[in-house]
Amino acid sequence: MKQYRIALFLMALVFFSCEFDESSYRYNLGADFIDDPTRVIMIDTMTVNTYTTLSDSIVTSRGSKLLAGRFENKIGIATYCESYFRFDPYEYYELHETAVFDSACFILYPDDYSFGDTTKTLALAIHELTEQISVDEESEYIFNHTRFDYETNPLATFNYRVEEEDVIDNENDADSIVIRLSDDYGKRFFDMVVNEDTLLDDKDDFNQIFKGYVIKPANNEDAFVAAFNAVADSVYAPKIRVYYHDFTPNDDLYFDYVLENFEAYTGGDYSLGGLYANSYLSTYIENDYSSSAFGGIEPGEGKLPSSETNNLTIIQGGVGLKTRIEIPGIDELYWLGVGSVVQAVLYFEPLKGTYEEESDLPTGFEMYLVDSKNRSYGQMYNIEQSSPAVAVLDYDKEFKDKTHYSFDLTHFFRDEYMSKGDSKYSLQMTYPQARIGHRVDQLIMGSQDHPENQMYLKLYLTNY
Amino acid sequence: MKYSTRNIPALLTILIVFPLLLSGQNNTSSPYSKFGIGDLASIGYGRNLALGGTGLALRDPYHINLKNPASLTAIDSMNFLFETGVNIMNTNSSSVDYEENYWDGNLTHIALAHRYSQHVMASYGVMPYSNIGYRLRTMKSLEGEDSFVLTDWVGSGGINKIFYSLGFKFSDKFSLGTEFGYYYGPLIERRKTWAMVQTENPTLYYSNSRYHGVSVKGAFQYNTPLGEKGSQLLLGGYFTPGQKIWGESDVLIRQQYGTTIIDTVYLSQEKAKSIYVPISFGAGLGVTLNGKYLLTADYEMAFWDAVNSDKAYLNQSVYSLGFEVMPQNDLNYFKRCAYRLGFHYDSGYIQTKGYRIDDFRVSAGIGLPVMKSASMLNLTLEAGQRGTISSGLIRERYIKMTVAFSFQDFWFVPRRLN
Repeated sequence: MKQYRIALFLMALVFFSCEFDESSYRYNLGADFIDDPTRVIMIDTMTVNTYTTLSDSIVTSRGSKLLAGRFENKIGIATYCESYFRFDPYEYYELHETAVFDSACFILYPDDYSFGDTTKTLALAIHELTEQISVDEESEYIFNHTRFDYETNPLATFNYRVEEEDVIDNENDADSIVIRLSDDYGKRFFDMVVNEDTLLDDKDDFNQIFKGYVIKPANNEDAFVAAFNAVADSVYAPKIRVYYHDFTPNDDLYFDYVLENFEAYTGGDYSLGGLYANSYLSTYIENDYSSSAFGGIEPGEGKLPSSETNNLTIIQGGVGLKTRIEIPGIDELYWLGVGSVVQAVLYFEPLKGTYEEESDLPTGFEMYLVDSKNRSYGQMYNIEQSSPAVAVLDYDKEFKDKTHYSFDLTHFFRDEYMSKGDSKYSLQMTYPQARIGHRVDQLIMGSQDHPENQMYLKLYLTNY
Repeated sequence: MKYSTRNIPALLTILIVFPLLLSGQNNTSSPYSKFGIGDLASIGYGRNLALGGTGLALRDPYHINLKNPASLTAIDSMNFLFETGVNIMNTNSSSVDYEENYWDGNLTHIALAHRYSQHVMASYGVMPYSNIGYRLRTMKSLEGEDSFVLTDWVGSGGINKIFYSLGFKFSDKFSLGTEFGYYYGPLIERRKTWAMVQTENPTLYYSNSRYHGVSVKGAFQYNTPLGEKGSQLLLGGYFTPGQKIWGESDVLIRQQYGTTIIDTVYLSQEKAKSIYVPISFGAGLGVTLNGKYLLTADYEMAFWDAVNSDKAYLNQSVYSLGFEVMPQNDLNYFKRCAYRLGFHYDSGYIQTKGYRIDDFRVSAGIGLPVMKSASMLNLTLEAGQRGTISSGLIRERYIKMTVAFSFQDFWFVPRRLN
C-alpha cells in the first residue's frame, strides 16, 4: 500500500534529520546569562611551616666519583669531602729481563661535577690508608660518616683548578691529572711485577698490604668540592701507572694498577662490575654547622624550624639535609564547602646570592611522605601516578631574582583533602635519592616568612 | 466491538520505538532550553501548526486534533486514524557579538484514534512535551586571582508524554473530552568547569534527573450551524489542574587531572527538584463559512509562576489565529487540497535578566490528499523569532518545516467472504 510507503519514508526522514545535528559547542552565545554554581578559588595564603632535618646516614659507597674538597657556603656551613678507594693487583705478565723502572704516578681524570667556588684553586692530597676499607656487615654499604685511618704524611699533593678543557667531554680527549709518586714508593709496584710476587695472584692478599688511598683536601681553605671519574673498568678510572724501559726498539713502556672492579657473590655466581663494582669506594662527607644558624640541627627525628635559622631551610646531598614541610590547614579547607582540589603547587626561591648561573642550582628534588619522626612512608608521585613528582626549576636568565622552583603537591593535597581523619603525614623534600650519596649540591631557600625569597603555596579549589 | 487486529503489533512497536527515536535526536539547539524544563514542544500536528497552533475549536473527521480531546467525536464511525510527523528546523542565533546557524530535526508525534462506540471515541499516542539541547560556554572570574573560570554546558533529554484521550458525544452539538497523560523523561546536564590557568584539571559535573508524573485535562466543544449553507460556529475550551512531576537525580562530580586520571569526588542519588506543570486553560472560537473557509482563534494561559517557586518562571499567554481554505470534494486535485495560514504569539514561560523570552511566528501550510483516500500529507512552513539580543541575550530566527502524515483507514468494514 502506497500510504505505508509514505509512512516509511517519513521514518527514514527522521533518521536523516540526525545528520543535521551539529556537534560543535555553541560557545559564547549569550554566555553570561546563566551562572555555574561551581566556584573555582585560588588560595595562596595557607600556612606552610618548614623545618630542616638531617639524615642519620647516607650511603656513599658504590658511586662512580671520587669527591674531595671543602666549601663554605654563604650562610656559614662548611662541607668537607674525602674519598676512599683501592686498586686491583696488576694482572701479571713477564717483563723483558732487561726492564728498568723509570717512574710511577697517580693518574686521575676530572669528572664534570663540582660544587662550590670553582674559581679558586683546590689543594688536594693523596694518603695511603692504614686501615682496611670495610663495608657494613648487614647492609654491605659504607656510609657518609665512615672514616678510615691513613698515614699522616701524604704520598702526594697537588693543586687542582677546574678548567673547562679538563672535563671529559669526549672519549678521545680526556685530560688527565698526573701526580708523580716518590720513586721509592713507585718502584714497589714495579718490583712486584718483576719478581712475580704472589701478592699479584691474590686480590685479598694484595689489599692486605695495599689497603687503599684517600683523596682529601690538603688544607682547611675554603675552595670547592672536586670530582674525579671513578667508573670501574673504565679507561678513565684512577690508576697507578708504572713507567719503565727495556732497551728494545720501542721501549717507552708502562703498565697500570687500576681501580678495583669488585667481584661480588650474587646468589650462586660471582659477578664482576655492575652494582657492586665500587663496593669499596666511598666518601666521607661532613658539614660543619658551628658558624651557621643551623648549629642546633640533630640527625634523625630532629627538626629545626626555619624560624630559628633566619627563615631559611636547606637541602643538600651527601649529608642528607632535607626540608620538612607541614601544612596544618588542609582540613580547614572543608569550611569552604564540598569541593575538590584542582591543583596545589608549592613555590620556593633560592636564597639571593647563593647562585651565579643556572648550573649552580640543583634540580630533581623529590618529595616523601613522612611521619612525625621523619620516617618515610613512600615517595609522592605525580597526580597521573606515572612517575615520581619532582621539583621544577624555572630559571630566569634576564631577571635572576625571578628564578624559582615549583613543586606540584596536587596528589598529596587531594589525598589529604579527601581523607576524613586528621592529617597523618607531612612532606619531606630531598635531594634525588638516586644520587644523594654521590653529590653534595645544596639549595638554600627562603621559608614562608623570608623577607625576600618567600616560599608560598598556590592552591586551586573547586566548590559546588 | 469487532475490528481487525492486524495493526496492533505495529502500533505497539511504534509506541516502543518512539522514545528511542526521541532520545537519538537533537530536538533543539536553543540555549533557552537551559531554562525550566526546556523548550515546550508544539502541540498539534500538521493541520494545527499551519493554523498558527489553533485547535480548541476545530472539528475534523480526518485529523486527530489533540488540542481538544472533545473534538475526537468528529471522527467518522468507521475510521481509523494514524498520524505522525517530522520536522526540520534551521535557526539563526545571534547575540551582540556572535552569530550562529544550526539545524535540528525531530519526530513530532505518533498518534492513533478510533471509535469505541457511537458516543465514545479514543485517541492515544506519544509526543515530546519539552526538548533540551543546549551547548554553552560561560565565563566568570576566578576567586582570589586575576583570571577567569570557564564552563562548558551541555544539556540534553526532555520530557515525553504518553496520552490517552477520550471524547464523549452528548449530542451533535456538544461533546466533552478528557485526556490522561503520563510524563516521563530525563533532563540531563553536563558541565565542565576549569580555570583558564588550569586547563589540564577541569571539574566535571553530570546530572541526570529522570522525571515522571501524570496529568489530566478536561475539555468541551460546542458547535452550532449558522444559516443553511454549511456555515458553522464552534466553541471549545479546556482546563488542566496543576500537576507535580517528580523524579530522582543522579549527580556525579568528578575532578579530572591531566588527560586520564579522574577522581569521582561526589556521587549522589537524590530526589530531583520537583517541577510543576502549570494550571492552564484555553478557549477557542472557530467559524466556518459555507463549508469552504475556516477562521479560528485560540487563547491559552498557563500559570507557571503560581506553581513554581523559581523566579525564572512567568505566567504564559498564547494567542493563535488560523485561516484555512478547506478541501472540497472535487475532481480537481488542487481543490481537494487544504491551504492554511496562521499566526502565533507565545509570551514564553521563562524570563532571564528581566526579559521575557517570547516567541512569535507565522505559518503557512498545505494539505495534500493522498490517492483517493482521506489520508493527507500536511506540509507546514513556520517562520518565527524568539528572544532578544538585549543584555547579552540571544535572538533566534528560525524556519521550520513540518511534514505530517494523516493516515485514514477503514477498520470496521466487514470482510466479504468469497
